[in-house]
Amino acid sequence: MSKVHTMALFNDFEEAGNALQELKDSNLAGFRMQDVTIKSPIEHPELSALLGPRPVYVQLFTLFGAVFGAITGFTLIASAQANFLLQIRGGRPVVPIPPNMVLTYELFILCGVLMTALGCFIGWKLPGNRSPLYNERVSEDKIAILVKADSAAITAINAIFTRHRSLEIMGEYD
Amino acid sequence: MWQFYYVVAYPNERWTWPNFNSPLVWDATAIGTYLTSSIVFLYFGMIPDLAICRDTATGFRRKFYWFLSLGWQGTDRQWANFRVAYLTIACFLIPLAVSVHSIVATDFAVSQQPGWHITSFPPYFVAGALYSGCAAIITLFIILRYVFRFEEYMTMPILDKTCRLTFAIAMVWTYLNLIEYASVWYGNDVYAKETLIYRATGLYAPYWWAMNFLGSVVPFMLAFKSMRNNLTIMMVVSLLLNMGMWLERFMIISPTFAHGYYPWTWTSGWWPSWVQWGIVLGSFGWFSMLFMLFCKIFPTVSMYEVKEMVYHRSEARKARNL
Repeated sequence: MSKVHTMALFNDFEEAGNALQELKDSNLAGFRMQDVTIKSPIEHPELSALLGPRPVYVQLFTLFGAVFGAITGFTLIASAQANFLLQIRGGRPVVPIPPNMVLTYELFILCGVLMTALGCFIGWKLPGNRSPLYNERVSEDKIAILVKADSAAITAINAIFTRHRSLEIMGEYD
Repeated sequence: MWQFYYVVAYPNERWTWPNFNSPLVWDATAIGTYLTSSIVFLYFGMIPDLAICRDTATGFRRKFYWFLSLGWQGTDRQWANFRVAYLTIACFLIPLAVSVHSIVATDFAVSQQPGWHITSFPPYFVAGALYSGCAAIITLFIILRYVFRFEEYMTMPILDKTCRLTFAIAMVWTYLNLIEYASVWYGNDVYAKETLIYRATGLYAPYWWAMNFLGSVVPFMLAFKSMRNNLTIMMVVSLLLNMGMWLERFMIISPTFAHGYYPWTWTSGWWPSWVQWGIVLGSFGWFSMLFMLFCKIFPTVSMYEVKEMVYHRSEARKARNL
């Protein structure tokens, strides 16, 4: 069965939420809630909750980046200090811990920030994965619901959208 | 600027590494980290707004915003990732701001020079940075509000809260200043005490007293609501505070140069040359030009945050009416 994309535009979150709720309760064959995407001008956690759990992995990237930055920073500085040809230290340690903590801390933050941004871009699946349907009226405070479903289910889905006063329905075949 | 090469932490052509125990190396790294992280944070927070610009612009501007908005479509997955990432970067930036100003202070504090070798310098620099930042925000707030007619977005309650915050930070700064004076006055370091007396009575006395007056007395105007509600007065006060904070930096540097340990290094007064004044004025010019370009090209008010605020307020109103 071929998969079809359909996207409906709604005036506000309430109408979009009602349509989404009916879609969820409909148990249509060839349709899964995992294949639904909401497009909105602001974040709406209540509406997103209807879609089910969608984990965010940004924190793992942050943790990795911060730990990597700290370890790499300290290792680079310590190895540079240990590689001085002449170690005229007057009894002081070759690799002093307290002053090295400053640069370690800076690299901890720098790598943490950069990996957080990278993790977010990967979470967005950018730049490769663009959603097939988009309506610029989302920027004008309209709410869009994008559904990917079997072509047989699409008529029923569009009927639900129409029943909940969708402003516009767009479609595209894979 | 062209000597920046010598403080960046990589070996030169003779394979000599910089001294990693020197705060100058820490400073270069901290400023680099701060600059990079701030740019990432600023750009990241603008992505939803850049997508709005993309959807409304035409011609080459559309392509420009299309490129910068990175394909943002406002999907639930994008918003969820964006929220977590934006908050995380903000959490990184707060300790980073403290660390970068502390490290700049360490450049001075770990030296042996009278007037610079002061334990309270790191928190003093952090407070000074926050203080001058808040004063600059008040100035730019009033200018943007007037020029772009942003009365509905840049509201008086926001200005009121900013002024209160500035007053609180001004008092912290004043307290740290007094700690510095008291610890030098009652301490055993005669050179530091001489430098303090020189600041208050010597060639730089007018600037030292002006700094203390502008930085510690003028902010008391922020304590009065009637003053905080008057934009003209706030504009004047914020400019005076900025001037006070500029004098603070000038007073940290110059008296120690002019009145150090050795009498034969004393001068009749170290004063910036026309080249140095040119660099100062040039930096003001660069800042003004880049700020105006930013205002021209990018959204100066976060549109999605305003939309969120309007939405949540209308929802709260609906809930009250039910």
